[in-house]
Amino acid sequence: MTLPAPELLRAPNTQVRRAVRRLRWFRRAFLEQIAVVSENSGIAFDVDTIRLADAFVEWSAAFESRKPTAPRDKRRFVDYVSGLMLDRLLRKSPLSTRGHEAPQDPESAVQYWPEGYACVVFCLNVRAAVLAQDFGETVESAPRMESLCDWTRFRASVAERPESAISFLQHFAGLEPDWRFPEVFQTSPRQSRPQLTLVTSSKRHTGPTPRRTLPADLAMVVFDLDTISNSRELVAEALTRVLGLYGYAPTDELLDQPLAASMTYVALQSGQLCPARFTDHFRKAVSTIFADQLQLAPSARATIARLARNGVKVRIAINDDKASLPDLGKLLDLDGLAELCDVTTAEQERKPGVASVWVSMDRARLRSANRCGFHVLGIKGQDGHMFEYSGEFIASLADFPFPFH
Amino acid sequence: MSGMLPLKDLLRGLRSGMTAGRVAIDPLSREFRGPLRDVVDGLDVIATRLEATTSRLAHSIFDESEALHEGHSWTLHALAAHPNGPSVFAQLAYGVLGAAYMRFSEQPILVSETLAAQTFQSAMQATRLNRTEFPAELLLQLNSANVIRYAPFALPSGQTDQSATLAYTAFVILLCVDRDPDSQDTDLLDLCCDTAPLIARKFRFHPDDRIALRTAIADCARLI
Repeated sequence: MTLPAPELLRAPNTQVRRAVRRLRWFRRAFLEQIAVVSENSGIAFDVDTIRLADAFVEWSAAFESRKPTAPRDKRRFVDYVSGLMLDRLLRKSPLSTRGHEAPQDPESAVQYWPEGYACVVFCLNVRAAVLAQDFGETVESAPRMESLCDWTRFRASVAERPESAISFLQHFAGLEPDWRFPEVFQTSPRQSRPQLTLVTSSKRHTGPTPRRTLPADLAMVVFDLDTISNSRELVAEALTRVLGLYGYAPTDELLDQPLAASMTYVALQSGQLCPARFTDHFRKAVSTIFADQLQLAPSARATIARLARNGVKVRIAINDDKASLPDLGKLLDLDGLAELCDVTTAEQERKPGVASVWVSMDRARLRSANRCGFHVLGIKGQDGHMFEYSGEFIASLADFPFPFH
Repeated sequence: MSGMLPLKDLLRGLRSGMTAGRVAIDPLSREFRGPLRDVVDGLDVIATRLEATTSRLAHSIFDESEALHEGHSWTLHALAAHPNGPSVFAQLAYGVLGAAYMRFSEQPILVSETLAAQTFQSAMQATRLNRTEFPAELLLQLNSANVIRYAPFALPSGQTDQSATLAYTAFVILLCVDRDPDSQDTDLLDLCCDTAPLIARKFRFHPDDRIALRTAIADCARLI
């Protein structure tokens, strides 16, 4: 079954995924959809735009809080969030019919429940447009829309459990929904293999041979979080997500600067004060992403364990204010690292007093650590980080120059 | 603040009063006879002339005022940085608050540009150390200053009505919304009026919670 769709949803230059997150487009698209349904069915509708805005704002908040972090979940999220849109629309009920009385024996869904039908059609059309644009899928917009029995069940069910609208929309779209927990979006299980590798093994033995001059009485090693995990990539993902909310894309420079630089960037681009919630959005995004995706680099655990076994104190330093937002101590505890090392900051580690090494991928941090009395050890990233560094470096943690056997 | 603003408010008040007065005596002019009829007719003539004069005067002042250029969309950020920010804000307030109020009520109103400009200055001063508080502060001050007054005689309202609160809220959101080439200010104001009740709900329950108010305004502006 093909559903009547407004022109706005077919406009080739509009990225529906982005546009639908703004009320100005959402309302226009909804009103156009209602006009099309009205024209096809002969039923006149009134739209309460204040209720519509209320539904939109609630949907946006739910969207934001449940948005998945992993790319593998994004396709399924489109199905879920379309249902969520229907749920919020039906809860706020912005539509009412003018002079329509449902016939005793309705012949179609639109006659049986015009308001519900119009909202379902809108959500399915938005879903179909996003799938076509972002995933290259041409979906039949509503393969299971014609059964009036389904519509009777649908109407009764949402009256009792509004959240069941999420499952019903997926059902109308021809999917197999979760009828028991419609509001829960299940992310795919976390993969056991690390998705991101900080060090390319093929590069391991390129460049000058590392010098092995760590002090024999080595007492402490501080690793920047980036050198032992995928934290840099996760911060980039969080920043991309939050800047995306404001309609901007991050630049490479922003990734290496404090969060305030991103807020300044938003202010400069928009010509307005950066919304105060920017920090809250970022904090939320980075916490969620770190909790879900923080992974250790290859050899990190073995390197840290070997240092600890030999009586070397190991600490993990946070690279900048962006990565400090999640509770890293707790996260590392989940990975079993907390018993081997502590979390620290550059400020806490001035003048170590014992033979100490700082391991980093950042030249500026290495220079700064060196000035504070640390021996410093560079580590080369996949993207050529540290390539111009003239001091001591290794290609990966597997090459860590232990001063003991 | 421009010295013309009180005069503009005064002329608008007079014009509004004249119009209301003429409407009020219209039935009398048909019913009275004799000398009383002459007095009523005379008053009517005076009122008509006075109204025409104030109207001409008002227009001459308004035409010379800081023009709200077609196609230029003001934001709070731009107004705060503009040397005539309070006067421009006052003119915007006159147009936008009037239009926004009509979305929520049919009662005739007058918007005081003098009070609007004072409110803008006062909110700027109160948030000079932290401009992120400016939208919330401005909204609270607009509401407490009763910038919207009730025609025909522009008396201050005894109690700020909900429609005025909604109009102030929509106005402040509008000034925080980012514009794109396709968006018309009138469409955006309509959207701001739609979202204003969501903020007003919080406003009613937490009048002193500036952080919640600031967050709610920023969220609405971002979503619009």
